Amino acid sequence: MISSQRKRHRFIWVMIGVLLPLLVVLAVLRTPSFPYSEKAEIVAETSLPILKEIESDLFKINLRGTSDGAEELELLLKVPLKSPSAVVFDDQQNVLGQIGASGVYRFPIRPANKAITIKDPIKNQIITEIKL
Amino acid sequence: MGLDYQLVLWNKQKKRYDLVLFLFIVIYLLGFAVVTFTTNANTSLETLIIRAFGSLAILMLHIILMIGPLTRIDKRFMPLLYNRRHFGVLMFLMAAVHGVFSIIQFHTLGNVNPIVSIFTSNLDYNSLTNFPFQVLGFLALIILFLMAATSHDFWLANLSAKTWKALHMAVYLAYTLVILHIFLGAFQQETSPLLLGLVGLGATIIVALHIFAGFKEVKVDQAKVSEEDGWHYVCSVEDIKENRAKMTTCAGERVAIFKYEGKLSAVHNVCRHQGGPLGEGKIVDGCITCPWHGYQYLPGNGQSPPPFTEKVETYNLKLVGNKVYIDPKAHAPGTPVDPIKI
Ligand code: HEM
Ligand code: FES
Repeated sequence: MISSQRKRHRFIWVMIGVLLPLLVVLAVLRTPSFPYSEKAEIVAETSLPILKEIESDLFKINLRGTSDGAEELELLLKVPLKSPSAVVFDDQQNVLGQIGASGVYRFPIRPANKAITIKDPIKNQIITEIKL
Repeated sequence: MGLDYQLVLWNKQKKRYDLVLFLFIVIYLLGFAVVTFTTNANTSLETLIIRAFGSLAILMLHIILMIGPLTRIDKRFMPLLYNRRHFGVLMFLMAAVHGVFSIIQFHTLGNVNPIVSIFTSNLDYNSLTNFPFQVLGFLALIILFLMAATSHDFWLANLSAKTWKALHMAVYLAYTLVILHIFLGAFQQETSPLLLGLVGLGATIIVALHIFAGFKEVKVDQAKVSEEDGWHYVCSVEDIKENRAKMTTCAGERVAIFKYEGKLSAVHNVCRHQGGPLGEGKIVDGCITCPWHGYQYLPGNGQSPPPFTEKVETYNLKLVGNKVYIDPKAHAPGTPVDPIKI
């Protein structure tokens, strides 16, 4: 390389060294975050009785509660979602929690809740809506 | 270039290089398929192809970008440099398979032109996390295509070494775009954390290597020269090995001073082919031979022996006792300068 090319080279690499990490860190900081619900193991004894079951290819939902109404939404995700961030909302657009890997998730819900929506908050897309 | 036996030698090396590259690609792709199907048996073939070729392309791009600074740091990496171009063209082909399959999978189902669809299916251009990351991959692929298409020596000859080098520096832009393509893509598609970790590590190594090698060169450029009546002192005659060169810096440019057959000659250090460092080559059959791909120049006039037409700048030398001095003013490329006798 000739002298001017060497200078340009150094400049370009210092710029890349600064800009790349900066952009990635900014992107991470701007990722919306939601409370992660704890992934619970199914332990039948400690759980409330099942009031209603809904099943599809993707998940199985158990509404658990007492005679007064549903108190807990148990979501069994059968396969990991294609979307890296997925958030569960109730019918009043309150956040219930975030879901990710396949497994069992439990969220407390209002007895009057009639539906849940799973959204990708980054893409602002609705992944699925489920009537309870 | 030079004698016939040398061409045969180079060609054999070239073939071996390509064979190793080819085997590497086949083994990587097969390995990727086996690991994917054993860990996640219901992966679709399209997804497998997109991921296998995408990750292979980025791995190859990392290796390609490491070769340059590594040879600056240690000469033993030199063999990797030879035929780096085939490496680059193959990397483009791998990236192209990834790009084409992504377009087929994600953009051919609608009624919009698939290329238009890359740009318009996601319009969140002022978001970072939901940035249309496929656009970044697409732009990178276009740059890589231009580089692969102009990689042949025909273009090198028609574009001039300087323009060609400038064009090929666009690989850094392509690299930046690809890294962002992967990282911003990871917010929107499920991406393996292993891949992200490796790419992050790779990018750190690449940037550090280039900056380190770059600043190592600054030292060489800024080395103090002692001056006498406009002549720069270089070294004593014994410091130069027979058929080898000593490098010095004249007005910011590198110059190589060769010792051969009891004579000394100085030429500009940069090979006209792709900018290889002539001063790191040796004299073969009376010709300065570039260490990168073997272009040759006569030490007395900086010209390639006929039928070749490449020329490099030459310089005047003088010998006082056993001390070598150089006149930092370069002669026009190909100007004959009588070698000085030792
Ligand atoms: C037309 C150009 C391109 C398009 C449309 C495109 C599209 C995509 C898409 C849709 C994904 C996500 C795939 C998935 O997660 O299933 C992806 C990921 C990726 N792309 Fe590209 N891409 C392009 C160019 C490139 C280039 C030039 C490179 C590298 C040289 C590259 C490297 C990668 C890598 C390493 C990933 C991550 C793979 C993974 O998720 O496992 N892409 N690209
Ligand atoms: S750079 Fe290719 S032969 Fe010198």
